Amino acid sequence: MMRIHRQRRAPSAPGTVPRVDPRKHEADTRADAVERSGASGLLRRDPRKDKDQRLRRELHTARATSRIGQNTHLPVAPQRIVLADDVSWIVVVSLSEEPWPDAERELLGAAHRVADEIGGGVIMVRVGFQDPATDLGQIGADRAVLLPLMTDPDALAAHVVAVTEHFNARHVFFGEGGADADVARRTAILLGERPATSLHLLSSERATFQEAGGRTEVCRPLPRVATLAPGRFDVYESGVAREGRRIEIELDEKTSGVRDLGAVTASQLDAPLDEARFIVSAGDGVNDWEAFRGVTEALGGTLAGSRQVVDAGHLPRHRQVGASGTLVEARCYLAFGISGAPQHLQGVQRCRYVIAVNTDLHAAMVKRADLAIIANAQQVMPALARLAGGQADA
Amino acid sequence: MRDPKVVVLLSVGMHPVSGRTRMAPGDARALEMALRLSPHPIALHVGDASNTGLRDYLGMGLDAIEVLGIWTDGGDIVPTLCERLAELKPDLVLSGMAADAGEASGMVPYLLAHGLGFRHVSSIASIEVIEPNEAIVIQAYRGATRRRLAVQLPAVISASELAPAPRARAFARSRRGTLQVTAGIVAKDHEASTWARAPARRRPKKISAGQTASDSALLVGLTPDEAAHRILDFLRDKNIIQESGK
Ligand SMILES: Cc1cc2nc3c(=O)[nH]c(=O)nc-3n(C[C@H](O)[C@H](O)[C@H](O)COP(=O)(O)OP(=O)(O)OC[C@H]3O[C@@H](n4cnc5c(N)ncnc54)[C@H](O)[C@@H]3O)c2cc1C
Repeated sequence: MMRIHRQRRAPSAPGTVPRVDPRKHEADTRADAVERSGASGLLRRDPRKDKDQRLRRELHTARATSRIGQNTHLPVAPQRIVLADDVSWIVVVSLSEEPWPDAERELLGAAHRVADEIGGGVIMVRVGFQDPATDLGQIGADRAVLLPLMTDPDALAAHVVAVTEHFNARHVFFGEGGADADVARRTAILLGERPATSLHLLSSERATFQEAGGRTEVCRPLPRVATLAPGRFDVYESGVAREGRRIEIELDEKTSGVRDLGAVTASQLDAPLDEARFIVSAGDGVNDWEAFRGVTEALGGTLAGSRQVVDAGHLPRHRQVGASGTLVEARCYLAFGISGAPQHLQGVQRCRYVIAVNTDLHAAMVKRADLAIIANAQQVMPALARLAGGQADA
Repeated sequence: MRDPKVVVLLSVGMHPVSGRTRMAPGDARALEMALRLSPHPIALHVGDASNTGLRDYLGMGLDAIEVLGIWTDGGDIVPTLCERLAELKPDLVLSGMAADAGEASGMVPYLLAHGLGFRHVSSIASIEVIEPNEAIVIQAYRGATRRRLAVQLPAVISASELAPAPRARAFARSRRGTLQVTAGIVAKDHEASTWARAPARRRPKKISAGQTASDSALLVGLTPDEAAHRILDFLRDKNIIQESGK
């Protein structure tokens, strides 16, 4: 069963059926539930059910993280979905390469705190690659505007402004970092707003940031455009799903005086570690160095290693990841035969995805990994190189 | 092209621990970039000529810095810079990404580009070529592949923290260089003066494991080929590598 909580009901046109995600279980019964509750109006939370659901959710995540083997279908707890209609909007903008691992979720969390204060909803503008595994409603989006990949920040800012004006949004939030910070400032210029940047605290009235190199804390009224500092805001509580309804918006072609001539295609193998987007890293569990280099090259990754292998002379010192090496910010870190000592894990803290190939089921690296494969690196490396290489020829 | 006219904007920084004034590290990278393009770039600073931090820049090989304004606290440097740049009509204006003192919102290059009608590209690691009407530059962000851009001139270019480090400073040069003061009125930043300020409090960051993905998978007993397939699928799903080859 599902409960619907409407923030404010807009008179819905007769015959319109609210969106239901067909990929979800029990889609049919849910569709019924939506219509029924739509007719009966506002439903209140039942605190006892809420608690029950929270417990089940915890159980669910506990099982999900400890399971072994192929993905299995777990019983899905009934979910409450909150609908927002005809409310004040806050726009959050996320480029697909987030400036830090949880940027998108932190933005949605912060935006919802403000939205709750003003009785509003959150529109997520997501640019470029869309991860099919992420349900935007689950991570806190009431509405979603999906834009194609755009490398021109001026064009992107113009589109963000179009969305902002279309919804007459009160605020637009960005992550402070990378290309997101650039688009934020261009958006502010287009809107004629003075943005608050790198916020540490936020409410519907006030924005707090630091100046004078972190010595002074400044409090100003929350402006229309703001950027949020990393790691300062709780992510959206994912137990309560939002609608995540996709909105299509007509956008004009934009041109600017900057032409993108494409990625600098020099081999990524020896790219500086602190810039590398995809790092393939070796630990003591690797002894076939030719295969290691081969697989890194075939995947277009950048070489790195643990201190152990650097000390042993297999890689130069500037290839060492970790507390006494480089703290990397790669989008993905593929670790072959690395145990995941604390000094090493510190170096990969800001990586979005970690893949571990290790013979030891209990290695710390395996616990940290988003995808862990218990196997011999010496066998996986050539197989992976062959598959990836064969693909490049195709 | 004929030697491009290069202007570099310099602010003074503050050492985060000692609080002593020094050159701003980001602006020093912009100056390094300027010195590689032109032996005598024009350097502008709005502020107070008595600030010892400015001498650090002279030590890098500048002959002079133009210091604009009669500085008082709470000034707004943008109108003054805009006015001077409109007179100078440069091909390129180089800046850092954000000052390391003051509001440090990083808005100055954006406001200048807007005010002057120049193009603006941010986070640039190097300038490869200057052609008659455009510059070819390399843009770099952490965790991203570098991109090559062609930007029409005149343009404002903000130097990335990934740009080459500033050259060593020579003490004698930092003494010899001159600070040319041009007195003028610096506008007040009235809005910022109404904001409440207090000494910063320590606010711990939120603790996060660095990932909230609940769908982490642990796979045992796969053949090497199956393992390789799973890794490739993951990399493609997350857009780390493209669908087919390139
Ligand atoms: C002050 C200090 C600073 C340090 N700084 C750093 C640092 O910056 N960076 C750093 O990395 N370390 C650092 N270390 C060292 C760190 O504590 C570990 O010793 C080191 O990270 C271990 O490297 P490793 O994982 O390659 O080797 P090991 O710990 O030996 O792990 C090897 C792993 O490979 C697996 N394995 C074995 N055979 C295979 C196979 N055939 N296939 C797949 N897997 C296999 C094993 O199960 C094991 O998990 C520091 C230590 C100190 C004291």
